[in-house]
Amino acid sequence: MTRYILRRLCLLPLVVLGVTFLLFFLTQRLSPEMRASLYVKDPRQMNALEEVIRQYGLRDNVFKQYGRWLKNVAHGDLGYSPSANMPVAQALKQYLPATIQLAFVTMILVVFFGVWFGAASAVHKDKWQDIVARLISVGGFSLPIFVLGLLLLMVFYGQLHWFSPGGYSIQTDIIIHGAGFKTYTGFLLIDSLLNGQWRVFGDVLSHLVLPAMTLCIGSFALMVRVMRSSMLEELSKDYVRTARAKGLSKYQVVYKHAGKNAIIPVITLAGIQFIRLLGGTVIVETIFDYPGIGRFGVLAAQQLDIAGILGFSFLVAILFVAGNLLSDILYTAVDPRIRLE
Amino acid sequence: MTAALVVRNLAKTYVRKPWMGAAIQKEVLRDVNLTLEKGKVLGLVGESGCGKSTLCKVILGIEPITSGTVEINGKNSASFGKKEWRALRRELQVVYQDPYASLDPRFTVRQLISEPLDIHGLYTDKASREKYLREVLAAVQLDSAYLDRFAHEFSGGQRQRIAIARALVLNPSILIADEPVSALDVSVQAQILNLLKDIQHKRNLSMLFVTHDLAVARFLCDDIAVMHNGHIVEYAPAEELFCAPKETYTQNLLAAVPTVPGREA
Amino acid sequence: MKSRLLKRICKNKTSLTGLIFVLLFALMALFAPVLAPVQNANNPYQLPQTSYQIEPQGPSAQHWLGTTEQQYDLYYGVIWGARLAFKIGITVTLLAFLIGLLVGGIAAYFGGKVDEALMRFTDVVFAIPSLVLAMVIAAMLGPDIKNMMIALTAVAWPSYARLVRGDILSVKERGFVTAARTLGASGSRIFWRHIIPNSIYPSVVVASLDIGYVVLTAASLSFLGLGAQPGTADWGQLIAMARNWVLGAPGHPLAYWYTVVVPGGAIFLFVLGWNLLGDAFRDILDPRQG
Repeated sequence: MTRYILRRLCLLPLVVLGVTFLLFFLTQRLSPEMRASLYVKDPRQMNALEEVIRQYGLRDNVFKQYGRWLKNVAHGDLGYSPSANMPVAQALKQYLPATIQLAFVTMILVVFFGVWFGAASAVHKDKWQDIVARLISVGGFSLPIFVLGLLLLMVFYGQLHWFSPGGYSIQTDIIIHGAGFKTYTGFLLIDSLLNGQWRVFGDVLSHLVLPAMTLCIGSFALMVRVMRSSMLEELSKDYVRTARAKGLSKYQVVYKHAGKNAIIPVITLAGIQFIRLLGGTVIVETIFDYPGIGRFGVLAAQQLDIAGILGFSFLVAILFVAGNLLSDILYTAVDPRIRLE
Repeated sequence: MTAALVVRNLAKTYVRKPWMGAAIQKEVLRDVNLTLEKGKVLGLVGESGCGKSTLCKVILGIEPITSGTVEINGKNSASFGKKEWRALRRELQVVYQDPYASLDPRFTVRQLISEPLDIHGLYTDKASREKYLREVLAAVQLDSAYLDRFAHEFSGGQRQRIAIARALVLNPSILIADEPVSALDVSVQAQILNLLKDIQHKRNLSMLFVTHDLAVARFLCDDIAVMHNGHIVEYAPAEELFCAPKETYTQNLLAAVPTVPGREA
Repeated sequence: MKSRLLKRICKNKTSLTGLIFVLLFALMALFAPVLAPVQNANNPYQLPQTSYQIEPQGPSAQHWLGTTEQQYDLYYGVIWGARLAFKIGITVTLLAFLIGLLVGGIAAYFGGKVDEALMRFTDVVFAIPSLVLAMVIAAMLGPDIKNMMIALTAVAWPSYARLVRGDILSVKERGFVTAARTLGASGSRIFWRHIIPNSIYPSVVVASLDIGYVVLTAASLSFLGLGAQPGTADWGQLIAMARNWVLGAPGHPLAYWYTVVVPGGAIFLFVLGWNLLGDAFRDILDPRQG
């Protein structure tokens, strides 16, 4: 087990290097002139492209260029992102906490509603509660998040004006960029509380509602399914029948005994899904104009901002691989039947 | 007269090289000596995990030998190249324990028992092939109407008959039967054993019969070797071994066999 | 055996629903030229445009399902979008499966260093969410449908390579392979006649059921502006055009509902059909159910 983890840890940097090299290799499809133009901030310099190409060695072979990029990364320099109008490293540092915040709130929704619906579905098997939960589960898998996101915007923003897109309101923007507001963690939900700014906290949370609801749909459907089958399995076990025969009420049996055991796979699944949400944030953040790394990545891709794309993929690869490793370990820790080799 | 099969000082050690750290060795067979005379049945008896199946694999050339020799019809198998092994397959055939696993589920009975003939280029003419396949099926007491059915449509006993037919189709002189009845229902075990005995007798086959069941071995075998922890602990003619077992391990094994009144004598 | 499979699907209400949805979309795709006559013979996937007026128009006799931004006809978009969805889904799945089969087969057949190297390469592709990787590749290649299909294939094949490799390795261990060896069969005969037929069919089923997922990812790329271009009969693209109209007109917040609901409904039902069918197949293929 320890050996397996060590091996995976050794492979981690290799895999991340592999991904970035692969993407770096792809960027070579773009002409040197095109890549050079990304370094130019003043349009008047456009006729000096050849000089930029020479200065940054954009015609060197791909390994040499990649080596240079890696060296810069080691020094914390991921290049400048024209799409975000700031250095890539700064952009990632600024946007990542917002995305983690979003994923976290989403996960809370997923676990809470997933367990609730899944348990209800199992306890009332084949009754209307079960049918509703199963329909939602099947539908959730098939409803693209960009469709759901637009529908939610239409109803809750257009029609009801309950929530609005973006990361926070203008008033909040003034407060958090003002002199009195201190940044501790970068997570606005936490920093606002540390600053005693309840208004900011509420505002940021309300901006998280729609994106989180949209993002949770796929994981929620999975969660309902897992909770339902896990609960059904528990309920069919001998100890549940014994408990019922002993005279315990149905409620006591279900929620005190079976529920506790049934929830184990759900918690594990939540850990795994947390990292899988990264893919979905790309779309959700774009729809809701939410200032996270997903939106940053999309903008960089749309505008062929190479430094931005590479930096974004670099970060996502690290998060994704490390997260998957963590969830594998979590999985074995919870379920002793699974052995990693 | 040379013996059909001679095993001399055979040892087999599995080596597993982990990703890091020292190699792990596991000795499965050590100093195994056996002789199977032509036209005789040699029983190899032992508990599961004692190395019986590994011995079969080594003899069949599926697993490499660690040390010692295996002689088949007087020729040392270590000297065989690909071509010799291929030729040898026509002499040495095997019936496996599990007829559910050993028959490709996507093949019909015709395809299954034709495959050895295709591989070795025998009976290529359509009419003689058809006639021969029917003969072989008749030899294992299967209806030739079954030729175009799939193996998964049959019961375990019938499947094992198909597997025996496949082994016989090359007309081998040596047959290895690796626990051929232990995966079958008790009710059909006797039928298959009788069939094997009958075929062995009719074709004058030399047979290595592997089993964990002493009663079965007694029914079929001329000589019996008892194996324990990869080593032959006792090796004697069948009647002698049953009447006067020398080793305590054999005695214990015998004591564990329930005596069936009808089977005595 | 195949008829048995069909019988089991028809017996189960949800899987039957899935099958019907998929078949309806298939018919729609097949008869697209009849249901919505081609307007631009050079490119049938080009949406017909009656005027250049920006504001979407609701369903009417002329436009059964209304028009989206710049008067692109939604009915035409849904019908030809189905054809495009099948084209993308089938092409990408087929290509990715063939590549996966080749790579997985090579890895399993040769084993050792070759296997290790190929599998580490699939690790690299797996190290990043497939949508993100597809998005980056599509962006580098330039946004159009062909490049989008290349990007989708590039992110899809590694999972088939792993699947095929795993299946081959497990079939390799089965008794009939050893049995074939003792019959004197050569390595290539065993591989092609025993191992491949027994390992490929489960993978083929799994792969074909991924068509729904491929179409969903393709729509996501188009939605992000990294796939089909404006004016293409592509569901994701139509939804992207609806983005500007979700807030509705002053006083009528839901005025342009059809711009989202029509293409969104099409893609929802399409993916739903495949998912329902997929669940049924997975239940049937599950070895525990015999």
